[in-house]
Parts: sequence; C-alpha cells; structure tokens
Amino acid sequence: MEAIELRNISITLGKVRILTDVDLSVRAGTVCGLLGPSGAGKTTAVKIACGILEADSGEAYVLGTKMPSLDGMRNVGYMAQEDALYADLTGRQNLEFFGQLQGVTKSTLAGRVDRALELVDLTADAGKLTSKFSGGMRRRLALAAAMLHEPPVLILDEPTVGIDPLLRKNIWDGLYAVARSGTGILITTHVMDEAEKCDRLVLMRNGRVIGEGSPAELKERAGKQTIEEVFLELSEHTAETKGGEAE
Amino acid sequence: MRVRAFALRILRQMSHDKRTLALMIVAPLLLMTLVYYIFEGTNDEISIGAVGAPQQFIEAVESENDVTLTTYESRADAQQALTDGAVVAYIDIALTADDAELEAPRAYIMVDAAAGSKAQAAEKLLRSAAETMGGGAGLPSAIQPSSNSLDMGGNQPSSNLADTSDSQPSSNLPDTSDSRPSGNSLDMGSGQPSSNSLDTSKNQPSSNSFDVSVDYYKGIKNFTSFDMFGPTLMSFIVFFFVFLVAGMAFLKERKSGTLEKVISTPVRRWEIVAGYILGFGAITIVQSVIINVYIITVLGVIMNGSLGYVLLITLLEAICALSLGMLLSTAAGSEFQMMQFIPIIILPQLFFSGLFDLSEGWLIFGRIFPLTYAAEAMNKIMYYDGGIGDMWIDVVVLLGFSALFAALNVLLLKRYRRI
Repeated sequence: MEAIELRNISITLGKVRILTDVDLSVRAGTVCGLLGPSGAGKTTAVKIACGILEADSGEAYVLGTKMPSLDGMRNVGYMAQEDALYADLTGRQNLEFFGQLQGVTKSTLAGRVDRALELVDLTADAGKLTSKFSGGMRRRLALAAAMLHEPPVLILDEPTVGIDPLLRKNIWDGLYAVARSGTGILITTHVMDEAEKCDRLVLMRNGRVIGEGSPAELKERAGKQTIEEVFLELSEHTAETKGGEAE
Repeated sequence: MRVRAFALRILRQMSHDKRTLALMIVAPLLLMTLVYYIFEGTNDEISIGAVGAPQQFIEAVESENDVTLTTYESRADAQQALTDGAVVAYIDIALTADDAELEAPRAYIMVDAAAGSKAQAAEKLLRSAAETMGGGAGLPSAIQPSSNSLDMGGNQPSSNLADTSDSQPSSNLPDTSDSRPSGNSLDMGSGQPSSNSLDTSKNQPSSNSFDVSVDYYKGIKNFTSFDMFGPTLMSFIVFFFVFLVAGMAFLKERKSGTLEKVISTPVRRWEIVAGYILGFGAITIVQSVIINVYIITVLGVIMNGSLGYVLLITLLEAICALSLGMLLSTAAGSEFQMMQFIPIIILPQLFFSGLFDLSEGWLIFGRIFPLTYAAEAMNKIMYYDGGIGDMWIDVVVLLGFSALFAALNVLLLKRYRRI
C-alpha cells in the first residue's frame, strides 16, 4: 500500500497559485525526497499530505485514508519547517506533550521519549529549557517529536537544516532503519547531495512536478553526473515547453 | 487525556515563566494595594477661611466633622489663601456682624468650585451656618439659641413620639404645621423675627421633634471608599490580567508554529480550547485565592459574606476572561491587534461595572458585559452576605458567556483546520 498518495493536487492560497496538478506517492518502507528550490511548493504539498491544509482540487491519502481526517493524522509524524517547540518547556516536557497529543499511552510514554532523545543525541540535554537550545538542537528535538509515537508515515520538512555533518549522517542512518522497518518517509530538501540518499526523488519547481524516479534513474535518463545537473536540465526543459505552450 | 496534556503543559510553562506568573498574581496584589492607599489616603479635610466671624459661628462650623476653619484679618488675605489653594471657600461677615444697625445682616461667600465636592460641601456648610446666624444677627444673644437648636429635641423632656399619646396633642405630626415646621436650626433665620427661636422652644415644648433611631442594613457601618470600589476593581483587575495572559499565550502558540504542529496531531478543536481553560483555570484558582485573601485580610475590604462564594465568582469570571482572551487572540492577526482589543473590549467594561451611578439606559447597556455580572455578584456577597439564591442569575450569565466564547472559539479555529 502507498504510505502517502497525492492525486492531481492544485491549491491557491490568497491569490497565488501554489500547486498545480501535483501527483506524488511514497511507498511504505522507502524514503522519498521532495526536491526543489525555495518557493517550489514543497511545504504546501507536505502540509496537504498531513492534513493541515486542504487542496482546492485533487485528493490526498495516508495509508489509504482520505485526508484530512483524525484517523489519518494518527498515522503521521510531522516535522514542520519551523521548530514548533515550546521555549518555556524542557526538551523532555516538549516530547511528553506531543506524545500525549499523539495518543501515546502513559505506560509507554517515558520509554518512547528516551528512545527518541537517544536517536537525536539529546539525552544529556533533555532537562534544559529549549530556549537555551542551539538551532541544531532544536531541529533535532523537533525531529524527535515527530518520530516519538512511531508512526507508520513520517513527513519531514527540511529536517537536517543546521545539523552538523556527523550527526546528519547518524540521523539519516536512523531514518533508514525506521524505513526498513516499514515506515514510509517523505522528506523535503533543497540540498542536492542529501537528495542522493533517497530511495526515490520527486523534483518540483514553480508548483509543478518536473521529474521523478530513483536518483540513479534520473541521472541515467538525463545523461548527467549529479542530481543538480538533472534538476537544471529538467527546469530548462519545462521552461521550454511552457514557453511553447505560451506561443 | 489530550485536554489534560494541554493543561499540564500550560502549568509547566507557567512554572518556567516567572514573569507571567508574577503578572497574574503579584501585579494584581500591587495594584489593589495601590488602590487601597489611594482611597484610604484621601484627604477628607475641608479647609474654610473666615473673615470677621463671631466666635459662635466659628464654633458652629468647626463642630462639623473634617472641617478646619482659618480666620483671616481681611478679605484680601482670605482671597490670597483661596488663590493659593489653602482654602476651598471663605466667608466674609466682617461688615455685618460688627454693624449692629444693619437690619439685614449680610455675608459674602467665595467658593472655588473647581475644588469639586469639597467646594460644594463648603458652600453648603457656610450658607446654612450664615443663614442660621443671620436670623439672630440683630441680637447677639439670639445667636446662641439658634446654634443650639439642633439639640432641641434632646433637651426637651417628653418630646418623644412615644409620649405624645398622653397629653400633648400638639406633638402629633399634623399639628406641627402650625408651630414651626423648620424649627430645627437651618431655616430658622430665613424670615422670622429674631426673637422667636428661643421662645419657641420654651413655649411649645418640642412638638416637632422625633425620636430618631438608625439601623444599619446588614450591619454595614463605616463604609469606606475602598469598600465601595475594592470588590469591583478587584474583579476588573482579575479579568484584565487573565484576559491578557491567556490571550497572549494562545497567540504565541500560533506565532511560534506550535499550533500547526498541534493540529497535525489527531487532536480535536474543542480539546484545545478545553485544555487551555483547564490549565489556566487551575492557575486562576490559585490566583483568586491569593488575591481575595489578601484584600480581605490584609487590606481589610468589607467582607460580610462567604469566602467560598467570592472564590466561585472570581473563578467564573476568570474563566470568562480567558475564553474571551483566547477567542480574540484567535481572531487577532498579531500581538498589536490583540492590544487594540483592550480599549475596545476591556476598558468599557470598567465604566459599566458599577463604579459609577449610571442612568437607566446605560445600565441596560452595561448588561452586555460579563464584568457587570461579576462585580454585581461580588458586591452582593461581600456587602450583603448574598448566597446562591441572590446571585444565581450572575452565575448563569457568567457561565453562559464562557460557554459562548469557548464555542465561538472552537468554530473560529476552523480557520486553521477544518476538522
């Protein structure tokens, strides 16, 4: 079953068209990267996937449940682009709160919190107020908050911004471990070399999907050495066809 | 479960945020203390100047409470004192009292009306004293009885109403008209020949005096300005701070992005609102106990009723304030807009909450504000020992307002997530 499926999604926010006919699917047990520059519509797409936003047209499903729905939300762990943390709570208290909202039972909460803190290497700092955390620490805590209830679907919006390379590698290892246990992971990024680590990639530009496939497939199809070159190639291509349409 | 998670989170946040906690608990205490000293420290002393007043006049005026009389040599001196603000009014009777040949004695009174109620009181006092004096001005001796006339009833034997039945027909109320309806000092001088006041009391014993007995409703005596305004101001201060703190907390939730994270979980909208009410409700219980106990025991505000009811009303009012604060912060776009609600929504409540004597129409208008009901109930309890039977309407209305605000908030949160 597809962990996440967006079908033909279009949305206008304010008066600006953000997404046009976006199709996207994430298979359970895989890591799918949503790659595109700032303003491509990545964040809007993932918000629709996790049920915070609703599309004007098209449908969004999580594990076969049409979003938005509370049942669907139970299965999603979402990490927002901004660190959604309470500065006047400690790291542990933040995790406990979000765990309770996600419905983690009292008996398992403490163990889950410990494990999540360990994954992001914050065990020693769990008792500090998050207002005292560095940017990277906050990012890691937000990631822990998303994974705490061990959801079958993870949606992570730019999760590794500001995290040092060694720790970033650990986090990716952790994410793969989670994925191999059956979790479907959708991860947005604008860092090209991070995209190489994904099982599958969806390339976005100006609210449209301009290409998809595994990193190897994408490079081979375009005859390029790096994902960055592939992205440039596809961008020019769509710009041409768009230009063609306009004429 | 989720409602409790919100409440626990709010309590934990508050325990780390000493400044906000102080705003909710210490600030109201400081304000009420300030209010106390402002009202208790009010100078009730009325300063009056007099030029050429006879001794009897001076004694008569000074026998009034809270009046100090200063004598001046000339009207110019008195005028200077008034200009300097040393006296709020002065009387010049130098011309008249010394000049025994003048048939109609005259006194000149100057009043500084901008001194407010004190000036009014001074004018009234001087006027009546002067008129009293005027009645006996021709005969120096006649002054005496008129200044004593207030004591008339007390001096005369058998002037009591209870005694009237046996002998004195003239002591009946209908009969008083023929004698001297105004036998008590104030009007005496107005047109009467100067000799009669003394004679009256001798010849017609007492026909027109009552045995007055005074009772104080609910035993309230010594009602101070702080008693008058304290309970209402306390209600307002609690309302204001809870409104502010809860509204800001909810706004911060939105601004920091945590609301988005919250609504990505399977939480229901009503659970968010209920969680906030539970969390802040718990804090306001602590707050209202501290504030109420403080103003009752330390500041000694009038308290004839039960502390339990006072706490109940404070709590209901606080819940109302916090649901209103949350509702407005959901509607507000920014902290600044939240601030803009204060002069529009909060301050007018103070004016209509019973601090001022309003006309009927404005009283009805005041009925749209929750604070009106809270202050009303608070007065009923603290003044008159009101019970639930006296204030159940206020309780119901406060609960109704809270429910209305909370329900509107749950609806308005649809802005952020439809389900």
